[in-house]
Amino acid sequence: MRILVAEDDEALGGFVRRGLEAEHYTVDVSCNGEQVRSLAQDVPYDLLLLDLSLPQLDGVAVLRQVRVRKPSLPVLVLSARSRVEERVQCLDFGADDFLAKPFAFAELSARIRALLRRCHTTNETVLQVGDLRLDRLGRVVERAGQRIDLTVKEFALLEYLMKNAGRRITRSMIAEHVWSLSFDTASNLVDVYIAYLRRKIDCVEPQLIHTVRGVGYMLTMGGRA
Amino acid sequence: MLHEISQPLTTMRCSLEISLMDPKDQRLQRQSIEQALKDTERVIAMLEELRVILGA
Repeated sequence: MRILVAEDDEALGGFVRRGLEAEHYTVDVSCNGEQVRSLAQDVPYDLLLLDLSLPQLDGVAVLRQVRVRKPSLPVLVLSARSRVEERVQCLDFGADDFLAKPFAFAELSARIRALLRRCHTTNETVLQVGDLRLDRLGRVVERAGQRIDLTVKEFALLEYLMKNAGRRITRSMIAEHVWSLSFDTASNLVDVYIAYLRRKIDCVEPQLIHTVRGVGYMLTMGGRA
Repeated sequence: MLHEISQPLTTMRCSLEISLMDPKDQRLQRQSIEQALKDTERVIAMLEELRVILGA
């Protein structure tokens, strides 16, 4: 699951990123309203965490513009301004939930889970390829009924491969999606993590993760990539 | 003023909570403590300002 955190306080954004990454989410943080609007419209996020006080384009304007292009993107608004009229205005402009500062991280995390549960059907939350099963909300991976323990990054990588099962995925797409890094910085990382995943996932037949020479990787049940 | 105080309190609360999620990560714990100190200073400065405004 990939979340965009729009927060103008850099320190808070950084800690929220650490907390959410520890809970297996892939997280991008932005502190600029204009950039948030463009990212939310162009990148397929599963949820937007939106602080209302953003420079360049304030949170309410971001919300209104994002809603036009992404009517079903779950949006959780965070704000230190907690007057009833402001909450009502945000909900009317398309926010799915509102959390007033100072919030506890545990509550933020629970609300994110609740929103994702509401907004995704089981078809979208559980990915299955052959006997490999990944529960995106429960964060459980099983192959042939056997539970497999994955690290946060291994989980994010497998989730991305499974979401795109049957499609060729380039190393740069993986680097950008799983690590939010450019390919140059992460190319080696991608291969290293694919090797880790193979050791845990593909130690039984049939092999699911295939190398596509000169391109990247593909996860598929059907033999050749 | 009241909503401004919420900001450092949120950062402090979240950073301390998150640092407890991984007790082995001493670097994260140090960052949280430093952040909590900074946020405490911010809250104190705001309370000083409030005191001046209220003439207390």
